[in-house]
Amino acid sequence: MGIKEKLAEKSGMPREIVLNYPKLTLIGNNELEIENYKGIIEYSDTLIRLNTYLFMFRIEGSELEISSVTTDFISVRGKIKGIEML
Amino acid sequence: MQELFKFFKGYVIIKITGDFPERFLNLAVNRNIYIWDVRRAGNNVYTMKMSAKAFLELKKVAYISNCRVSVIAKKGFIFRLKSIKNLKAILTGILIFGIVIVYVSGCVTDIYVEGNENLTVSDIEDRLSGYGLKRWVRKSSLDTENIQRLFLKDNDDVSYIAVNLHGTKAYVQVAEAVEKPYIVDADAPCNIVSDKDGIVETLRVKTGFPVVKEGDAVHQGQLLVSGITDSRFLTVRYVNSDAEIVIRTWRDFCREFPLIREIRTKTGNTSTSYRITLWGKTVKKAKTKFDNFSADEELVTDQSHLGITKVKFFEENVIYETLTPEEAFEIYYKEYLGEIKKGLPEATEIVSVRHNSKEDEGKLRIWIELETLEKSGVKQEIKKEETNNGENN
Repeated sequence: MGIKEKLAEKSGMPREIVLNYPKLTLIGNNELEIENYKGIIEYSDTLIRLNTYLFMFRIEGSELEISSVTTDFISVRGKIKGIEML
Repeated sequence: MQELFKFFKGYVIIKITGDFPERFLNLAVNRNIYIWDVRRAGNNVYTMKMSAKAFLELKKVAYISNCRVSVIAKKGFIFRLKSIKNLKAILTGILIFGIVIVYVSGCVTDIYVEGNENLTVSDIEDRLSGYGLKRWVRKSSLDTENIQRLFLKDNDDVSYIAVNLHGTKAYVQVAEAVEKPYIVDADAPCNIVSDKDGIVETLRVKTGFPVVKEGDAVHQGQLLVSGITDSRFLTVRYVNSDAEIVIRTWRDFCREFPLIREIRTKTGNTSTSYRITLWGKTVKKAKTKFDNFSADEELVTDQSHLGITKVKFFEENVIYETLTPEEAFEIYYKEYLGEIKKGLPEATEIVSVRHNSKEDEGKLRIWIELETLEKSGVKQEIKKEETNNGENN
């Protein structure tokens, strides 16, 4: 465990802020919000691959669309069938 | 809310065509361009929305990512405004509207008069217009205190006036002056004359010289007690006559009453409608589905240009009852006599009541004759100059 991780744990500060860990929020199976992502690697209406500071996410589904996107936040809508960490 | 904000700021729907749309998205996002609703529209074709302002920064992004960008649609309030052909005319209209509103808010649009009893509202308004208070006059040009002062000075029939300006309305409160009765000076010489026809019942003279005696028939305006005396021993004297005079009079009344009586009973069904008037003209009448009804009216708004009246209709059953002359007399006589009694002068003593009735063409004619004892006598001032002139002539 690194110093930053220990500091975050001891201080009780949110790790997604201190360590830039990705934070996923899945609402049902049709909306996924990801904070602290780095970039879009691949986008189609059945597959989205996103890069974060820890993993690469592979989101599979159908009728996928990016409902909004900023530098550190992305929101995906559609019929989400699976999320995979690579 | 966010959608509304986007609509007001304006946004564009663009189409991206290229091998690496992901690269385009990443580059745009890193340049702080907010993008939303990214959808795949075909093979290597994507649509997305972004703010109209951010679109201008896309040229470099498109060049680096080797994508072609084209605008599909422009949405939002700004673009709608630009698409209006007669924008100048509309803006001019808005400007004129604004000027009119500002001008009108500085004027008196309505005058409300309260407290008048005998004087009409239009009469008071006409008089006020002479002092500058009228509709569509600038409020800044009005000196309400001065108007009040001058109005009271010039109008003797008004004892109090208050002019208050609230918004565009002028509220005028008036109190009418009570006309003072003609009072003969207690020391001024005067006669007493009869104010009605009849027979003198009692005559008690305190001062003055009686011209008639009890039992005499007198007519209206006849001299009863004189304030002038002329004897062989004394010179002409003038006195203030005072007497208590009671006169026996007869009053006749006659009225026709229908023998078919209308009896109305409420069924309990009600309906409400509104009557709207614009500048005194009725633009919408209050309507009801009832054939027979009575109505109560309640004023909702009463302004010079707009009047709204709430009318509540009560459905009624109407039955017509045919009365015999006897029944009709029984019903109407007491009612009619009560009406007559109310109209009699104060302190009138009814000595006797005689009545008669006759049926005539479906109507009942009722006569009532009242024999009454009433106070009589009106003081009439004696003008010495006239008397002297008469003597000299």
